[in-house]
Amino acid sequence: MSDYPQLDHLLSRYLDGTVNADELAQLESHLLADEKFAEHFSRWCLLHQQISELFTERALHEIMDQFVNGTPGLPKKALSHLASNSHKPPDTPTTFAFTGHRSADQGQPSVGSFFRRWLVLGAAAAAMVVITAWLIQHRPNSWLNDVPTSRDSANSNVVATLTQVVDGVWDPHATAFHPGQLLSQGNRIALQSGMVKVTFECGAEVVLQGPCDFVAESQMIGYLKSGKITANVPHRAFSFAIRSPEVDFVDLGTAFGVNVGSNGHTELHVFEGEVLCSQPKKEAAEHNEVIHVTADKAVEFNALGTEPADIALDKQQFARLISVRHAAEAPPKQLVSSRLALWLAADVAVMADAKQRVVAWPDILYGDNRAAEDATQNNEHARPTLVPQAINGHPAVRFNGQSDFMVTTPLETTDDQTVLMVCQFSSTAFDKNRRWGGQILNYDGPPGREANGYLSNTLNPGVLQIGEPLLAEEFKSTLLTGQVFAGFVGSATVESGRVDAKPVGADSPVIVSYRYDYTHGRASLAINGHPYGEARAFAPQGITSRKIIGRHAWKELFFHGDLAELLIYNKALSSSELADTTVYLADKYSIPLDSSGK
Amino acid sequence: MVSDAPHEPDDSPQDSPVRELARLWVQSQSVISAYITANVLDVQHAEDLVQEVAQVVAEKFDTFDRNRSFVSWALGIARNRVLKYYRSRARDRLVLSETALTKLEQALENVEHEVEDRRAALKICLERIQGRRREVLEMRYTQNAKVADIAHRFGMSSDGVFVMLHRIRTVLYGCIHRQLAKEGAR
Repeated sequence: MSDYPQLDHLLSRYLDGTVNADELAQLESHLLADEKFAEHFSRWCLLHQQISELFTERALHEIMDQFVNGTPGLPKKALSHLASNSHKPPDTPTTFAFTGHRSADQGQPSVGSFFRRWLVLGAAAAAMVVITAWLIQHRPNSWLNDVPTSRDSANSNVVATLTQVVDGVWDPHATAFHPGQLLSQGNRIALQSGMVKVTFECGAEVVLQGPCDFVAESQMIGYLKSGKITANVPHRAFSFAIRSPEVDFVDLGTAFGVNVGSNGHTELHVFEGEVLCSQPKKEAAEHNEVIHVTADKAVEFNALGTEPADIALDKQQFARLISVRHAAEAPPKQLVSSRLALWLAADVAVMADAKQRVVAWPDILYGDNRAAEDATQNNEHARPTLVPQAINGHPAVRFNGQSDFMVTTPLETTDDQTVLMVCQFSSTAFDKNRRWGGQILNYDGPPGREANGYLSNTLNPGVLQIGEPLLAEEFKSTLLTGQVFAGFVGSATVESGRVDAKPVGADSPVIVSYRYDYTHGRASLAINGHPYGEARAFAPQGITSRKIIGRHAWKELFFHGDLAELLIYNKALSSSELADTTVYLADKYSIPLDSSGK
Repeated sequence: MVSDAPHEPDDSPQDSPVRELARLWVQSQSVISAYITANVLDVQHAEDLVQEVAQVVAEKFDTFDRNRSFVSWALGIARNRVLKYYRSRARDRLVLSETALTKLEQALENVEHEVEDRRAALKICLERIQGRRREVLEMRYTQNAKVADIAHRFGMSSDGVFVMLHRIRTVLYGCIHRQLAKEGAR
């Protein structure tokens, strides 16, 4: 029996938020005057908190049961309304993780980050451990089977992606690769004729022309035994190397061509930047000689041990290779070119198989977008379809909502982002059996975060996502939302910069623009120029990752609809820049803009 | 030789400031969460505030005076955050004064040692709440439902829901007391 039956009544009212002013004054006076009542009050606070804790644990176990029974994904938001924070520490040692806030020394784990890890693990710890273990076992990996399982390049066997094949005829004694196929360390590319493009994990693009014999040795090294190649190396792939029987070439931020002919005759032609050449001496006691070759210069080497000789630059002999890479180069447009990172347009360049299924969607080189992170799909059963006149007479890539998606090669994106896309939902989006949202764009391409990263920690950086709300309780068909998913805090999902628009319906083309301005802490979403509000952008998201188009990162939640164009900028576009780009897309696709929102 | 010097954190893997902080926080988290959730009705906001307190505690841990009680220090930070929250948002309820909040912190510090036992006892006691009472309690705590919403869901009056919640809490409080007494008698 309580010593304070009358006051207990008021305590309940206080905890339920229904106490009135007189009652509160009564509580306060007792709290301040009576030490024993103050402790009694504090025990009621504990009771209130601990009921939440215990129900949270039980609810999490129920969610586990849902997984086992086959619901399509983790209902993360379903956890958010649960009270959080069990007091139990994890039994096992933790590793460092990162907070959702930018720090000056991001490279170092902070006290705060460790703390948050403990805090989050402390939240419903037992259930989280169970869920994590379950996910690790049941994560649907079928589409990830041939991709690296870790972001640690040292542990990854995948070194490159075969992003294009142009009339390729493979050496009958070597493996024939397909567009979109991932190349492992040591894979040999032996072409009799035709051309292929290989995009290394580091971002370097190498175009090979048959006959040639080439080996992908690592994420930063290719070995050209014979044949002709061009290499385009972005800054992030600085020191990418091409080895050959007679000479090794180390890139210093360049575009160059190499031709390895018979008898060890090797030519280097530098189109941009600078290349270091190292030619091993025949006598072991001699040091390798290193020479620099700069832009618009060419050098020849031979196997006879003679000195390298300057020759005339001959860009023409590499013209066909250069044209492969520049097939998706666009002429100047009325859109912003500054900090453009990815540009896919179905009317400019799409490579499809005989059934019009899209094998590769090349990144258009334009403005600051100097490296092509093409989207590809090696699995013929997961290829979307090219539809010639899908959106007001323009072609688009159609995703069937069941299995179709594409993945870019690793693309460097920054904390500040602007994404624009022209898309429309299909009528299948309104299938009555749909209960979970599909995603159009997700920045957590393979190798994605580990399951325990999702479940037991805040994610740093977060994952930009655009599409329908994922979770059953929020799902509305064709409702568009943009956010940066940043993991969990306690039992709640962390959604930074989330802005929901409205259902746009089927067969209704729209221009979606999502601007995530981490620098200034705000995110916004607009449809056809009409703004749908702002949200606080508090989570960093800069990362080099594959971007997934048409599905969620690890749950089978697909986009039902057409995508005609996708632009990703590594900055938050200014209002005028965003308006200009939106107008460009509106004009091109004959989509009326909503001027009322401006 | 056994040192009688006051305990100070060092850089060893076992006693680094990071580990010390983690240990202290884990010990104190329930009390801090209880303090915040009792005074902030909205669960989401309460969770955010717990996180904010955590962040501040971590950032200021270098300045923490080891001669003080950690929970007292952290509750002081929590009070500031709660007051800031009251100032920055429209109040959804009447709240305690700053003086009363301070008093509550002191009282919570006094009962901190009971946290583990009370939780274990509550776990047993909760199993005894069944039927509609259980459904009402779950809706209140798992969905953060307001009394009016629960009333609508169960076809009850708001007063009826409030009385039911109060009785359940009272039953649980008494049950915990008896459980602890039983444990103490063993």
